Amino acid sequence: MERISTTQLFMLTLLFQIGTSGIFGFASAAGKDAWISTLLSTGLGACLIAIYLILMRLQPGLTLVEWFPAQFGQWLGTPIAWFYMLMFLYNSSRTLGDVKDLIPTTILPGTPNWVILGVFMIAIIYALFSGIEVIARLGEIILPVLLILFVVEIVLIFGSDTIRIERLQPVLGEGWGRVWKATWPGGIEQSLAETLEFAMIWTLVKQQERIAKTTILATLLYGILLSTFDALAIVTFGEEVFSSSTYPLYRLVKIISIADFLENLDALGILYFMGFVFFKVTLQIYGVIRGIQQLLYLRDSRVLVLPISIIVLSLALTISESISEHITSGLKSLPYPSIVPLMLIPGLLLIVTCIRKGIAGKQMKKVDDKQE
Amino acid sequence: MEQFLWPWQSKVIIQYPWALYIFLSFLSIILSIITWVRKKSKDRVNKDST
Repeated sequence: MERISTTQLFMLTLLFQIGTSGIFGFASAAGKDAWISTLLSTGLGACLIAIYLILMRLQPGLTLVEWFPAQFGQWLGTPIAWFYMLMFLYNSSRTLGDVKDLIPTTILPGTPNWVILGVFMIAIIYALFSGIEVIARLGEIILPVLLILFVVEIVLIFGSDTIRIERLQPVLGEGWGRVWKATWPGGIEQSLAETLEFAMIWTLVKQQERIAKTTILATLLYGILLSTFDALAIVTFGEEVFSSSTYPLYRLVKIISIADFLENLDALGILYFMGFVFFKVTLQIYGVIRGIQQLLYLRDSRVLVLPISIIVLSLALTISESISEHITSGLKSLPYPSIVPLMLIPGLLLIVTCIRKGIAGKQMKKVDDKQE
Repeated sequence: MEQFLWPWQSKVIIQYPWALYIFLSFLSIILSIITWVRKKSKDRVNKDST
């Protein structure tokens, strides 16, 4: 059986959560207060992730697809488990669809979408065939490189003399209204609530007792990184450009210009955005494959790699006709229905699990008392 | 009904935000049948072997 360490879990969680938030920016609807919205989303998202972690603690050794049949029974639990796998399958195609327009509009104009996504998918399929240990080792190598690039980017932006700190002011000038609007429910769901997909991976971690601490730490670091990115984009462009731009963080890389020598670093920026997306899609598909393997009682999950990857690729290619349609559906239409699977059902599951554990505990105590 | 034909497409989701999740719910019930059948046959094999 494959196993990963807590350090690897930390890195995979961080890579997964940054995902496409690194491309589109986070909470841009909150304008110059986006960085506050990001921190608020992270705080509330961490509370939600804590619920997922409590569920994992209450059902040790079980994956997400096993939680529901274990508590709700086969007849209700199995359809719910399938629902989650189908939702994650859709989510992975959405994430892949996020990069569909990024490459043709930035570094490879005119290249057909199917070529870009097809090549990207080949790398993902290779990683999926290699297994979670290889994906985790790759994450261990890639994440420090991406973080170094992030620090270099900050230094270069400061060196480009484009920063005006006053662009962040007045802080909360329009009140908490738009900050809350960007936070609930979209901000919490984007990347943070999606961490539920890690419930398919948590059982593979060597030191089970350290999963909770590791995941929460990765989430907090994610919040700090994204908030810094947002604040950096606002002090560089100002509120209007930040909120109206499709790829604000890409523009941030593009703006770097040191002594008319170090410029046009956009290709480098695209490379590290793609790095985050690669891990997010790979981990999403990995979770789906593992879940379907358990639901179909298959011995080897590798038979599912190609069919699932082909489904994800074809969904990603047909999911939207334009980037504006894609963003509108993701930010305005999906967040409210997603409250049910990402918040309500886990909350209900927690209540049911606690009640059942309580009843089982009382029965055990009665049996012990009788034996005495 | 034609507009619900591809419920995962963004244009359908924008107009009918619940359409995708309702579609996924139906699909998950159908797929659950495979799980129940496979579980039953697996249980039978385990019972025979013991």
